[in-house]
Amino acid sequence: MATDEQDAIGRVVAGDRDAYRVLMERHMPAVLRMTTRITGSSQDAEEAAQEAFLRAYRKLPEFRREASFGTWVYRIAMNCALDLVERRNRDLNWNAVPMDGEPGVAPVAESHRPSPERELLDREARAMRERAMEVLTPMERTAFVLRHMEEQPIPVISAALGVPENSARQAVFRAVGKLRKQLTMMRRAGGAPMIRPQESR
Amino acid sequence: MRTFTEDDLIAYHLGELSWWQRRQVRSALEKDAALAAESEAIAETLRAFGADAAPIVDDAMLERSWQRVRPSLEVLTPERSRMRTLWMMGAGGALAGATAVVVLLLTFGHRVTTQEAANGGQAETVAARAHDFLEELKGKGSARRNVNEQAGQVVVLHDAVAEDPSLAAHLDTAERVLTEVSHSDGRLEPETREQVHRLLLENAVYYESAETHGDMSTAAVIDDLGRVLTALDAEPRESAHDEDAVRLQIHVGNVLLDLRILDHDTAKQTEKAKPVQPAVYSKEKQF
Repeated sequence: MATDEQDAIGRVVAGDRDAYRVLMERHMPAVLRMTTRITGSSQDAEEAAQEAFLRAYRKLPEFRREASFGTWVYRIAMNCALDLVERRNRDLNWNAVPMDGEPGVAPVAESHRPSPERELLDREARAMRERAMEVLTPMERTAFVLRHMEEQPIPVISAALGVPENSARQAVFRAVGKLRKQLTMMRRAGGAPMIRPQESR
Repeated sequence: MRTFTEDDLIAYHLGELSWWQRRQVRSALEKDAALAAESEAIAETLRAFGADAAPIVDDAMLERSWQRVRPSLEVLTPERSRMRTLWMMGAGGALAGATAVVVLLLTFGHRVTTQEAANGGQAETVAARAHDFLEELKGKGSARRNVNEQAGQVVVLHDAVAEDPSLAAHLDTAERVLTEVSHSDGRLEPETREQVHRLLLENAVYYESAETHGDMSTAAVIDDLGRVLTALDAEPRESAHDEDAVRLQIHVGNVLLDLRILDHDTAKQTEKAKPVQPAVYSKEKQF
């Protein structure tokens, strides 16, 4: 697999644009999973992922061949996703539809087909989680998603986002603190349970 | 026995502690029921937000992404000719540099004597602006004014950062952009320059907000941030060896430090989650 990748990179750098498709197809799933979690919208996630692959392509001649292309493009995508969330926050006219309400939202991976009731509960819980995440700043949201959901170590997050390790760590801690408060408030307001029993670790 | 904060517990659940620290936390959790309850609440929060399923990337989505990206892909120059181009550019640059040095040496004496006259009434130089900027910083706080409608005392009504998520986001972005600026040499990238300009436009609004809240330490940091952003927006660095650039770099570093301290303080305050109690500081302390 690594040889295929090296070969594809070599062909791209030599001027064969179409060889880049191999790299995109191989690494798009992981990148898209992460950008979806950070942006909270499948439409934005695709935009951030595509931008990351475009940036990676332009910098490909500087890429060190012994490194992993997947890791590299994934880190570029972290930054693109954060930039997009910040842009969306700034743009007051942005009317992005929340992920749970999007008609064309990407299907989620399930090991079995859930019942309609289960689907409804899942959708409701997802919407609540997304609402709770709205209290976070773009930096807190990104750092939290990367650390907790994507299980990236703090040094990787800080390098990708261009902040010192301590700032990245504090952003994660602040995010967890804020989300905990939001959870408590939602629970008091009588919201639906946010997790399924079988999801508990 | 050591007391553990919310941050310690979060770090524990996220696996950020060393083996020894983990052991200490575990031992404290066994003895302290309140701490154990807090720990469980954090664990539950993390479970709730770790439950998202990953999206499936199907062939149609890959095809769509490829079709969108493909037209923007320029044919890359093969490495060998690229290296040759770089080498030629480098050699050309060196030759041009050497010529410029010779010309400068030949004309230096003449220019020194005529420069002042030539510059009279012309646009303000970078050095003069840097000087004014430093003078302004020195005089900062010398003029007293009534803030928050309180003479002599500043009453902190609220923590502006904790209460205003958009201000928190603004400071986060500023920290990120300044970190990027402090780690790069030469001219600002167009993208960074645009971000600096946008931050500068927003900064005044947030200064007002912090002042209205009576949160003068935050207002002071925002004020300093505004000065650095103005300097960056007006005169991007030409070279790391330039005297003004070095001064500006120092200011960027100072403001970055302030932002990080503010960040840290906010985190600590959030952690304590005490009921709001007006704190009283003297103005001299703040400035």
